[in-house]
Amino acid sequence: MEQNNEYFVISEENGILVLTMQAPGNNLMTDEFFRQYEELMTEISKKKKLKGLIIKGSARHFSVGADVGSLAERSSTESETMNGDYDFSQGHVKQKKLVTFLHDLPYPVVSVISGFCIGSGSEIAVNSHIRICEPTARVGQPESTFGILPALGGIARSVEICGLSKAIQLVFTGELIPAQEAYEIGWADIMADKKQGLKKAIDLIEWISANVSEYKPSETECYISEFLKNEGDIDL
Amino acid sequence: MKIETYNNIVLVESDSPQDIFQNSEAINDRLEKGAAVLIVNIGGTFSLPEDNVLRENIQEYFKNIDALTIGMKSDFSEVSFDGMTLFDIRTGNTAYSLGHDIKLSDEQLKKYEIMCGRKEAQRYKDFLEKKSDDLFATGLVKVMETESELKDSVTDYAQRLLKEKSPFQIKALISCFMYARTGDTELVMREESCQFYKLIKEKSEAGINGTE
Repeated sequence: MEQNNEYFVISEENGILVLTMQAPGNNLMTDEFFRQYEELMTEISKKKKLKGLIIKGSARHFSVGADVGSLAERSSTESETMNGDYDFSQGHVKQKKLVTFLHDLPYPVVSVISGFCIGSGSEIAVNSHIRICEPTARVGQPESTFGILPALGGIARSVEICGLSKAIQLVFTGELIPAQEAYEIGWADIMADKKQGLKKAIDLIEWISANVSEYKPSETECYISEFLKNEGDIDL
Repeated sequence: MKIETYNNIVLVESDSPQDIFQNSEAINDRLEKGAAVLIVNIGGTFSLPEDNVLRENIQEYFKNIDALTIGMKSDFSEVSFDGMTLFDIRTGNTAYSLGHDIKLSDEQLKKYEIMCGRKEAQRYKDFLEKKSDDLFATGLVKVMETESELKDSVTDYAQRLLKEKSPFQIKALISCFMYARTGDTELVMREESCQFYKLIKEKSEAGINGTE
């Protein structure tokens, strides 16, 4: 099964969905990107019997993140209608939900990262259950360098996966880090060779499907550990 | 207790969390005047007191400090686990390791996961299942590999975190990480959105006033 809209290709084989981002500007997350993303995610959220979902970029980069200019303009308009600090606009609530809901899906969601994975692009990755990095990956949350901060779960999930002190460094400095460092701080769960990330993701999802009766996101680290031991990739 | 202020950093020397708590008024005064980082040069074991009420008050104080907190000591091997994990960041010259002889409670394991992340918490659980004399090298302490004095390295690191940010933005970021200290992801998610819009509004107003 394959279906496309302009910015995404989605294919399904053996119960594994692969969502490939192919938007202009290295998957620059513009308003149009989010509109098409919402269309697709609405369809994906209705699918229940899946082994897993893989998210990746079509070319060299996962995503360079949000179009900061249009994000600031839209958000500024939204902020004028807020009645209180926690009265968020429907637009923000919906956009945040479309990214954070990945974490609540009942099957493994794996982001395969090559090239830039930054800002809101990184937030898609950290809201996934698992991140597989290829050697070219460079990841980060540079929002603080633009005078803002990550608001689609980037802070919350970075703390969960890397711990408080490393998340503070990532978010405060806004620095991009290479794949190996991402792995060492816990951001990346698995390293893959160049152009092997997709195969690794499929192997992982197939292993989980064969060995785990009911996927529990809270047990993801345990599944990864067992998968890697099974592959002979891990030496404790 | 000696309290010094350098730009936006408060630096204290102390060998007990109780000492910090008892001087909270003086520390808070410095923080309210714009300091954004509290660095504690830790002496001794930095243990929490036995008294449960005092212990809880101290933990509550550290949980609510409106600043990034950094515990600094060359070697954390003698520092109590509960004392060292009061801080957002720990810095030293050597890594901190755990052996099989140290049994962390469920609460301490949860704290460990907040401090070091899920993957490392799982690695630690895998380590515990293997019975050996090995030590587990944790990521609890950021090792400063530098020729400079530790205090200089740590203050430079703090400045690196804060650089090129307005006081308003720094406070917005800190606000999110204050909630992160509890490990409550939903609260952090909510605070991210709140502080994001505050920053957008501030940028917009600065733009209108021509001050950006």
